[in-house]
Amino acid sequence: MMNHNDFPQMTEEFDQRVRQTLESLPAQPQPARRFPFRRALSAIGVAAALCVSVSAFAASDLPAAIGRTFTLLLHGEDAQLLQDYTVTPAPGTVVDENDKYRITVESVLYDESAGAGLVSLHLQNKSGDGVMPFESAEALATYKKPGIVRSNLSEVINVKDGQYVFNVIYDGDFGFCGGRFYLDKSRSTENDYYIEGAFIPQGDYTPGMPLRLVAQEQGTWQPWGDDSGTAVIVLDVTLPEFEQMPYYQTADGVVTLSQIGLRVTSSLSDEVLVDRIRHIAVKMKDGTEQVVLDKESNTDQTLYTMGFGRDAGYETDTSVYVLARTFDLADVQSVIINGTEYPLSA
Amino acid sequence: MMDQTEFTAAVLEAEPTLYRVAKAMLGSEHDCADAAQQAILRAWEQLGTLRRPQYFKTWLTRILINECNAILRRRQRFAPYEPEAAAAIPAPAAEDHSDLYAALLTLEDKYRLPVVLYYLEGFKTREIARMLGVPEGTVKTRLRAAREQLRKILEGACFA
Repeated sequence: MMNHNDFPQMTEEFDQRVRQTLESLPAQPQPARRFPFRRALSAIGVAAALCVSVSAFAASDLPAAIGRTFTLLLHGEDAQLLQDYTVTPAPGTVVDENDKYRITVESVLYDESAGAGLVSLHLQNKSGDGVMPFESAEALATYKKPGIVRSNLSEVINVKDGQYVFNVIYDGDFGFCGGRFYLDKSRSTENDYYIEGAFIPQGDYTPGMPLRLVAQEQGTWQPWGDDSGTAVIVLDVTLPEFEQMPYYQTADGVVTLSQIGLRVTSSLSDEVLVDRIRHIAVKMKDGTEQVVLDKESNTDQTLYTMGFGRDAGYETDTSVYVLARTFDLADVQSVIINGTEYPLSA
Repeated sequence: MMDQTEFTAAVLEAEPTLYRVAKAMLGSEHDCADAAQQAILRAWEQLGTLRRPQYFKTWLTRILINECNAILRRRQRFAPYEPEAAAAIPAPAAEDHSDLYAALLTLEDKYRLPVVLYYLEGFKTREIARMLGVPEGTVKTRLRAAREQLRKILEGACFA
């Protein structure tokens, strides 16, 4: 049996560093805080660019099936496959509020290997005046496709000053996840808004960095000395520590798959990877395939997709997908991308 | 939530484990100290998110593993292999280790770390699975494979 005598003993250098670190710990940060960003806010508000219609909030009239799909991963029938990894904070622990609204994180699911996350939050209108601090946008009927999950969801967007932009950030104030937030109309009421966000950290994220969910007020500006700035943060919560999820990978690490995320890395080419990838399917050991993406047949079973790399100076192109449906990882054999099968293993 | 005194005591209690895990992953004393320092600072910053204080050591070890992986990634990206630099890194002195430790160093990273966590530090396979982000079955498979490799290397040395 192995025992500690078989291993090198801890050195004095190591012990000194640990003790010095403990002696000089900074003041413990408060759970909820607001402070300005030192980076320009990325573009927000996409209604004008997309074929969407913007409507004031109304009681949900979506079919029950779509409502179920929307909350599937965290609340619906797929939730049991993910329950070991879904973090549900104790009530009242991951909360922030301002004069008008109170934000509570209900649950978080984050896959560090692929870099894909989901967060479920409740935004309460404290004044009860029915003023929702964002718009909910839905695709025009012509653009709603049964196979495209996102076309049947109500995206949270901002078209007026004073409305809130939700972001997941990291690395203090410097890192912004890409993401999209959706209003769950099946649960929301006039003054209680239930929102699910899908997010993907960018290439500068280092595993282990804390993630924060913030709301920023559109139209405000917090300038910094270097002429950059960002919108003022009006709500700010640190997401709870996540449960690390299992994942499979190809031998060369090019493809990483978890129950909620897929990450593909490629060398650079003229066309960006996220555009080049036109078909993705997860192949099971029993031979069946779960189609994640097929541009030819208008199938898109993702909640959010992001590509990055080439524009940030990296030598590779990366695409990450937050999946809308999950599966038992133990049943997975491979991933098929554009007709090429990539065998996966733990 | 722990205060600073309680946090310090908990870290010092876990310190030998932190050293052995970092050593198994990084080798370099300087890198081990760097990883431990970063892990302690991150743990202090995130202490409010620790839901079950009785698992502090497991939680801190996982943070440490993340820091060690970050160092390993930085090594890959920013340190192209130079034979002269590699030769300058001293091999462990004979008195620093046992035959078992020397054999452990020959294992691939993905086998070495589960062995250290399970046999040396006493973590359960489920805990190790969570730390490493792999299914529990994978941890058991890797432990089995590591045992076989160590047996061959040690040529029949007892390893239970």
